[in-house]
Amino acid sequence: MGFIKNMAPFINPFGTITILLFAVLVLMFFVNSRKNGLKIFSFIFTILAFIGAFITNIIGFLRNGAFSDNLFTSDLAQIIEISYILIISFIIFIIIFVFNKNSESFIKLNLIFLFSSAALIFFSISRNFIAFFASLVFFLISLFALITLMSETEVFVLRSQGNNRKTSEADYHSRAYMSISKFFLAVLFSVLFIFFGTSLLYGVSDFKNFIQLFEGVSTFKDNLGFVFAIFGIAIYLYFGFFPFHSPYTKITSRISPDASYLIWLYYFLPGVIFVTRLSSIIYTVNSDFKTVLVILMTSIIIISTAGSSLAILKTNNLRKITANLVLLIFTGNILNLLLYIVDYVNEDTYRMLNYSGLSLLIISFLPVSMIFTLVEKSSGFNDIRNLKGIFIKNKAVLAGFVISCISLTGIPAFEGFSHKNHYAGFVWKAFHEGLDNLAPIPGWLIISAAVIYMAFFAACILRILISGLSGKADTNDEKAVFSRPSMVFIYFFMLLIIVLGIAYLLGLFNINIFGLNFSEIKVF
Amino acid sequence: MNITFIFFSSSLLFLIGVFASLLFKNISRIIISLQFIFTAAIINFLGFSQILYGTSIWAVTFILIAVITIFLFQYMIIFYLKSNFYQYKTDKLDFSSSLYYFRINDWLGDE
Amino acid sequence: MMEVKNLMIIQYLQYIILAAVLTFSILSLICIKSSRKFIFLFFFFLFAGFFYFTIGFMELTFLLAVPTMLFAGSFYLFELKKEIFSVKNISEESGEDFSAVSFDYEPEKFSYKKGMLLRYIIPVLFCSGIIFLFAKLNISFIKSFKIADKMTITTISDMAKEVFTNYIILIIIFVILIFMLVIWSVTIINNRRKG
Repeated sequence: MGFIKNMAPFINPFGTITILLFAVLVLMFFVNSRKNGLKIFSFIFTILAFIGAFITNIIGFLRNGAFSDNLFTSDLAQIIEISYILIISFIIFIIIFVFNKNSESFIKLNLIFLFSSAALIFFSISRNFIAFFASLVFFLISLFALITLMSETEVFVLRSQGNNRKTSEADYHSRAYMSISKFFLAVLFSVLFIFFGTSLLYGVSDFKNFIQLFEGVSTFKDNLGFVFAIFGIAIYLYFGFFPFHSPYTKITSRISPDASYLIWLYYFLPGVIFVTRLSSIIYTVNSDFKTVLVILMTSIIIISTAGSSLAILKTNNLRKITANLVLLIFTGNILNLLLYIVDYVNEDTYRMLNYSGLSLLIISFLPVSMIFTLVEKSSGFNDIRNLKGIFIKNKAVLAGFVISCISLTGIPAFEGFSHKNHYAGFVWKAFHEGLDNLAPIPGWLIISAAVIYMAFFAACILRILISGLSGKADTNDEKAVFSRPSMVFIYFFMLLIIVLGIAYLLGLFNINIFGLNFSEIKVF
Repeated sequence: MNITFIFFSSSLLFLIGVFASLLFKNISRIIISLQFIFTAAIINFLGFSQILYGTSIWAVTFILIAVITIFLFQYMIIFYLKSNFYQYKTDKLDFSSSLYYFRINDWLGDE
Repeated sequence: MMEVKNLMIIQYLQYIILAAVLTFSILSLICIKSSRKFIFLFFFFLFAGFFYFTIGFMELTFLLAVPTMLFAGSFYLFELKKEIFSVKNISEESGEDFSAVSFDYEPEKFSYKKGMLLRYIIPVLFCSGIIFLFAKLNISFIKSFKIADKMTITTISDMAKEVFTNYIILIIIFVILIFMLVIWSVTIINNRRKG
């Protein structure tokens, strides 16, 4: 017990990283092994490491409270971010295991994945710009290594559909390689924008970390405009919103499915964290630039929403639909930022809205994309009209598909309602009680952005639902059967969507169940 | 030392890099133009730290760590591209379009 | 730490060096022949190094030169491999012997096509947007430059002290990363050999 008491003050967010890096060090000894037993051992060991990191993260905060030194800072917000990162890592790791358990390089993938999640946690708690930038690049390097290793074994090969395209596997391989390289060059481009922006920030203000920036931003606000413009461009390019989406959609439609999950669920997290970091700083200076910011961000939201939604409405390609749906969900983060800087929501609600976007991604979006992947694997086609043939024999998959689509639309009593509830609430309020603290023109611009976002989102989901249910039924597709683990996966998420949706609804009406009041639990 | 001149030169270098990396579709030209953006940022860091603040220890640390990590990232991409020339008989030695090339068919089409 | 006093000569040197940096950057972009492209890129890195040297980076320039040289070398080898590969592919298809041909092969040829105008739209719009923002938002910043009274030069020992007292965690993680990248590259090379 004495040892634990002595160790307690050292449990800070860095303890979480230490556990993950320790797991990396242990697994390094088995890296060249190809035995099945060791693969299972490494799988269980990694799962344990993630659970240990999760517990350390929460217990460390409960024991020691907020923590700060010259490199790191962590508060309640960072602790929740780290929890989200660990949960998402856990889910992706299971997906990686399911797809790669027979692969020779599974332990290598395992090792690099653990490292990348450690780098991501490092990124989310970093306070100094050096640590911030270095951990971002570490994360991207490990992501690159992961995606390339996964694409070595399997790439996505379409069944020939009667058109005159080359369908040789080598051709698909080289297309996948080129798209990976192109995507990461584009990422490097946006990262260099961040580096250039940091150099300007240093010149303008001599700021070396985020705390200084937050405290001193109002003194230098006249000079910081260009810096934030560069940061904004960098974030826009990093997310790959509408006119700059081509490297992103190309890589997700050409690499192996498990690698594309890495991009959908994992690659965007640093962008979200970076936007959240900058939000409180923009909020401090926004009184002078409110009109400009509102017009700019409204147009960004409308352009990117319209761009991704039109793609979803028009295309039949499953990968493209999924990729654009992810972009649409992350456009919500920009909308949240807009609501925050005009004082429509306070900081807690802003963070909660961001978390609800992430929850929507991992709870409601994941089963839809999983069903798409399974359909693609079993039928060989990547067309939304082939879904119906699969659904004829597999009614459970049909139910999972319908429930997650309804949840994505944001109908009450499903999980996705927590994402749309606030937007709908303030649009309702604006139409009935008027805009309380806003000038009419920016106020109605924001309302229109929110309405357009919700309308396009609902239209896209309806399109997916209708095309999925009313396609052509091919006799080949009807024979397709799903494996037991994937069925368990779909059942589990169906249950989760309904349980969380009902809990959220009960929380809104202040009803206690099992002694818990869900209106106080604001993490999802 | 003339900081205004240094700042304008580095900004010009940055613009050249941005323009070229968006325009060209040749891999080596894109990578070369990324070096310009990178160098522009380094010039900014050194110029500001020495001329405006008189001390450069933090900026130098940042530059060294950034140089090592960014060059490592670029080296990995190049290594990966180079390794692909061994195995597959392919006519793809270059990107078919520039970095953010916009094509209606890529956006709305099925392929 | 050392102090710098006489700055007049350095200032004129910097004008020349930065002009050279800009010239070589444009030259290395527009050259078609790859050997010339790399010569100009080398000169670009060299003059950028001279600039770091004059602005007080001094001996630390050599620390920067090592990763730069490693990168540039691997980049040149990549370009060479690409050319050899392309020539070999052509000779295999046509059955001709290209072994005596000098490496002038360049797949990207300048010719007018229908989509040519479209190719310029995104870069031109993007850069004009940046120029507009630069002109609009940077005026007060440029006016507010205050030049420091004296300059100090950072030596390697200062740098090492700073890194090892404050950023040792970054170095440890970087070492782990390097170890994993070795594993990664070995795996990639093994896979290629098998195929």
